[in-house]
Amino acid sequence: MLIRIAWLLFLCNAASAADYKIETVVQGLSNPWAIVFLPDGDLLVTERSGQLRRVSGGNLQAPIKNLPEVYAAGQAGLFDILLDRKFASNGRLYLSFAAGTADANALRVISARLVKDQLVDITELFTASPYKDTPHHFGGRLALLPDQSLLITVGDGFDYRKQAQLLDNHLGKVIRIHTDGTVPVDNPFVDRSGVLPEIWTYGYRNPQGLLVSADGTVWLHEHGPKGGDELNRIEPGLNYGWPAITHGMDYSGAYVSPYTEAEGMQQPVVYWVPSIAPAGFCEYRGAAFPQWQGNLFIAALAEKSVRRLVMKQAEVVTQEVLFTELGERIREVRAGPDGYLYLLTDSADGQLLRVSPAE
Amino acid sequence: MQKLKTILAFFAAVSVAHLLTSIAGTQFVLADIQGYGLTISLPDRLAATAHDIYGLIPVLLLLVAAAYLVAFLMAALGRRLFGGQRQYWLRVAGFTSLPVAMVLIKWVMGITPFAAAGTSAGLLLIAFSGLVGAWVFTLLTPTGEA
Repeated sequence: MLIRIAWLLFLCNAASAADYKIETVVQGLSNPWAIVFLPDGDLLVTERSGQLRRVSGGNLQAPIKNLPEVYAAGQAGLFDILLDRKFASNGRLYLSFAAGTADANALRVISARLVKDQLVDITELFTASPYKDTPHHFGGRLALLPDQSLLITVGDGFDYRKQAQLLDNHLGKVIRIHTDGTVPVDNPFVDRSGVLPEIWTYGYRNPQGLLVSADGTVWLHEHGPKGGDELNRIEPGLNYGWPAITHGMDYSGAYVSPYTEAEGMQQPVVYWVPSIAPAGFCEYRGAAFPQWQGNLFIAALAEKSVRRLVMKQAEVVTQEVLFTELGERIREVRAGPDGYLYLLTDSADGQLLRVSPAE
Repeated sequence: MQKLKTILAFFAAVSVAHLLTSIAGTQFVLADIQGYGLTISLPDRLAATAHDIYGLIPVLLLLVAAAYLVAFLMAALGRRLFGGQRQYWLRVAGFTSLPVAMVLIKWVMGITPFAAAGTSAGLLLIAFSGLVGAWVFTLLTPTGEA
């Protein structure tokens, strides 16, 4: 049976590999984390070490100036970037990053305007509470809902995993705020005493994938510990279980919890044991690969791959493991406006790669 | 013969400390889970405890052995320099060995490797587990050199 599955996976990979080619757009990126595509055809790439770089005509430009101070250590650093829907007219973008020091750090989100090659009008929108003393599990992904409100994933801080089930803090949560930093009045917990009103959903470990799909479904994936990475379809007010329920095990070999399900806690749409370490996330709606239309793509660090998920009515029908031939930890996967897939490899000499149809 | 006896006593001490630390750690984790509103039956508690005793062997058992080795050598050195009774030096070494190891790992890696060590009460229980292990060592080697 195992041989049969392995053979099918091989055939699947072989068939896909013949359909695409992978080219290096730029290299020499310092642990790149996220990409956005600018209206003028350029790209912006965040580097975890704290730089924001423009890629123009296939060339890596000098870092964008006037970025806020970033706490970069361990998993901490500059994370996601997101353009405002009116970026073409207002130049506004959103950045998430670790702020503070080794002893007191937190996820922070700012908005700013990009004018030529520097940030101006920087406004702090959100800082996760409480500050923590670990350089791990920040979350840090951003997405805009159709109503223009901003979703932010916040990790549990590793040593603070209990906080993911408590609603008086931001750790292990998805936050929803307006793009001016104010709290929407229709957030699920705004009227509940002792609960932070920014909380939209909760019970996460380290969510590094967030996506609002074309049909409005909000998808989130998160790193489990040893096993137990999850893809969840998230809805406001719901509890996604960590660390009360999980399919993963603590790195020490002990249980995080002996339970995988409990009343009032949501089950993942799919989970991975062993871990694939899901990082980037996108939905493919381009024209270059018609066979991938509507599929979800998940960058996987540990598996050194991209998972292609074929969806049907919010369920995963099949999965394909792509790009393992690169042998690289893949941090980010995005579909470009040209219909090609763009990948970031996670290393001190990271690359921006473009996947296009084979000639 | 004396060396073999000391080695066997050391492994007995490590095993006892591992057992107690593991049991204590599981109860801390289960208490947290109860705090989230889940009910834990006695069979689930026993199964989880047994699972963790076994599951922690590759990490915790080795960590205890390494921590004891360093702590007992420090105790022998301390006794040589300052005098005093052997069993007291060893018990103090056992009491401090595991918390120091946990703090060192946190300092180097930035994280707490063992969930129970993240609280003062958990750290204290781990310290007492180390003390009991060291006490077993002194019982089994009443005239040892270490």
